[in-house]
Amino acid sequence: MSARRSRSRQAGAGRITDEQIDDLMSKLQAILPEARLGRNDRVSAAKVLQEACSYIRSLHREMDDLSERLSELLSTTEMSSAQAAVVRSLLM
Amino acid sequence: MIMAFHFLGALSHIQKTTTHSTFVFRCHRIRCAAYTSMALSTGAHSAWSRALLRQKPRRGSLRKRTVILQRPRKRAVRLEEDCQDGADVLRRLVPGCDGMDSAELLDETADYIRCLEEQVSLMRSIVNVISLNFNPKS
Repeated sequence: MSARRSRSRQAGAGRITDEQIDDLMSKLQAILPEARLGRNDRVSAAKVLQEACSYIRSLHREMDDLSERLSELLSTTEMSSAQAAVVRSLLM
Repeated sequence: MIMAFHFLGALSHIQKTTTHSTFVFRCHRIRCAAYTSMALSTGAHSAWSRALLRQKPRRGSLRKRTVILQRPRKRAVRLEEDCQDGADVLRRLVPGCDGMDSAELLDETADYIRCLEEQVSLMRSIVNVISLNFNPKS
């Protein structure tokens, strides 16, 4: 990411360009699931941050749930034989 | 794919070393392995991945590369007032982002979310493959 200084604000108010922040916000908004925010460009920055927090929390919860599920499966499945099947399915 | 190899290797190892452990302990090991494989597949260029890897003792060194933004770091970026709370919560949720300025925080967050999604997707695939092929009863 290059440091763009076009249209920078006067005086050292301590801000990088608004444009750069907007770009980063848009990038973040774009990776949040559509169901959370819609594709409306006019979502506020505060809303984007809030949804990002909420989404990260839900991903953490999902990691926890999947870890539990894997823990159950590991107790009954021989991983070394399952590994090959998993890799094959991922490559397809 | 790097993530997959790391994680699958870890799962195998965990299975071998937790035959007499509790469910909770094994679950904890798996979750740690998940975050570690996320961080390993990203490497050292993200603050969040470095933070996750610092939590685990690793063999060899993890060379910290220069920060992507080369601008002088004296001036911190501040967001609008009503975004500060959200930004503060993000700093607590995304590893290694304490005290980070807002522009970098947004970048780290986007990267972290993408990796979380990949890891979750990988774990779902593994669960599906194992359940369908090796555990028809479950």
